[in-house]
Amino acid sequence: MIKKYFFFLVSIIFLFTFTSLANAQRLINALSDRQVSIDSSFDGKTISFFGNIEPNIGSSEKYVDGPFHVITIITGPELDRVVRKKANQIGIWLNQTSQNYDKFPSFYWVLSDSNLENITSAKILEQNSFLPKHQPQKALKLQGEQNYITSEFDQELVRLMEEKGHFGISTNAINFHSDTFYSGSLALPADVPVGYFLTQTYLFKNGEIIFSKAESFTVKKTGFERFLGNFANHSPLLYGIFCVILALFTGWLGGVAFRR
Amino acid sequence: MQIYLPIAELSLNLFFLIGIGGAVGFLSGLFGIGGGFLLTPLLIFSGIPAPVAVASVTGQVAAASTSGALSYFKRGGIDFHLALYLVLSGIIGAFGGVAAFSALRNAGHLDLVISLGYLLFLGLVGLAMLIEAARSLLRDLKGVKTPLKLPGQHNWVHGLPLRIRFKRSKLYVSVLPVLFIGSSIGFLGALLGIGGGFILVPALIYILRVPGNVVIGTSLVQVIAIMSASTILHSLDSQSVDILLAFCLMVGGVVGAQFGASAGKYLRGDQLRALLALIVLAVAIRFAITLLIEPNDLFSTSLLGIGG
Repeated sequence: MIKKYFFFLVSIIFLFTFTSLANAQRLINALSDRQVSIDSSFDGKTISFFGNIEPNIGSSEKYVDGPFHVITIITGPELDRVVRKKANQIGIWLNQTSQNYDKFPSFYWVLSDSNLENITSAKILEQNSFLPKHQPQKALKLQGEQNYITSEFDQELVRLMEEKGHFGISTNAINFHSDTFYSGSLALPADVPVGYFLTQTYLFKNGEIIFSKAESFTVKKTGFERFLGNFANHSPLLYGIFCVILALFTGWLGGVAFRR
Repeated sequence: MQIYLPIAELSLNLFFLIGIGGAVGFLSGLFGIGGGFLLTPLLIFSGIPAPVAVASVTGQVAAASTSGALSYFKRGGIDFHLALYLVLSGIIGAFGGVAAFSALRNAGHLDLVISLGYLLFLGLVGLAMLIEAARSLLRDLKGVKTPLKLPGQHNWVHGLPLRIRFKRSKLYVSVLPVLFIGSSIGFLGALLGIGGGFILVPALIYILRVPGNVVIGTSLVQVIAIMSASTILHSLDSQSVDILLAFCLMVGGVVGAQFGASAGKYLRGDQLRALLALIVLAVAIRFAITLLIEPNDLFSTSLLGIGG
């Protein structure tokens, strides 16, 4: 009987300390931009973010105890994508086999303050599908692909996205300025996809995730670029006619100006 | 100075765009061609997605052809009766071309068909032009004067039924080859992003025997009509016409064409044709390389649906 009570007590204490440990810290963070505007002179943009680790509200501790590590994952809008492989047929190289990836992130960058192996285990990275190389499998599972065997398309897709600069890992993008205050930045390329971006920040201590926080920003066309994009999508007939009138007018103007 | 292209969704150097527009415009003024067959590949090779390149160049070619057509119009160098038949059949062909364009893009074979189409047509036309120009140059070297043999000669095409009289062209010819030529050029133009002037002019001369004083003006009218129709159809179908891109190319093209036209006065006709043939062949060879030589990267990725 006593043994049973003892066990109960221990588990209560264990639970209490564990939860209080898990919630002992929290992360206060912010992004430099909520919205990235694409105008006609847009040539990429650097997004900065920073954060501070502090004792959680209601926690008895006055100070947080590091060392901490931070991984921030920036995910772009999810779009349907296809990967094609060329093969030689009757002497001509043509696309032969392909694999579709529905709702695949168009942008995926993993930023951290240190080498990933210093921060956590490969197992945790894989369980949470943190790395670019995990994304194809994640998309295939979500789209209910029956036999999602890892194919060569998976790694080739990640390679192609990395070559475009839309996927990647940067282990020195985040810097700790004190034991608890960090800042980081990510350069968005000029051909950054338009849409909703999610930034997910994970706080690590002793290899375990102890806190996570999500934020978002949007990339959108503004001003004239936005007007043209909407015009082309919403009233394509008028847009086409307008293009033709512009072309004929420019040609006519050229003819008149130079009197051919 | 970088400029962001709203439909292509990437940024390119403004001066680069006006520059290639101008360079191609110079050649188009020099040779009296629209230049689409040079511009579309150049854009594709500089990283613009093939659908956007094809669709936007159609607008540029319409602009480049307009100033030429206007000057022919003032000189009375256009057979509007013949042009009407070419234009109507050409627009029907353009519908087919745009439909084929989207079907191929969805199947992932658009790049292949564009490459094959360019290789085939540029290769054949370039070879034919080169042979013709070389013969003419050789005859010239030997000092033989060649009579202009085209007008008045008839071939089997002139024996077809449904004949119509085209007064300006002094032709009494079946409407069938006219419609066939018009719709084929319309189909190819919309599919490959070329005006098709460099195929249309020889076809009108060698098949229909259209006289030299109206052939270029009439073909320009057909090119403007097909390219205008293709621009609208591509806007409707795939929304891949980038007006900013097209406008940069137009400005460069219209200006370049003026300089090309003046430079053309210093070269003889057969020399010009030989030069053009070499350029056409060079583009064809460039496409042959992409098709026949094992690519560095076997894999490619693109978005599904609109704009991909």
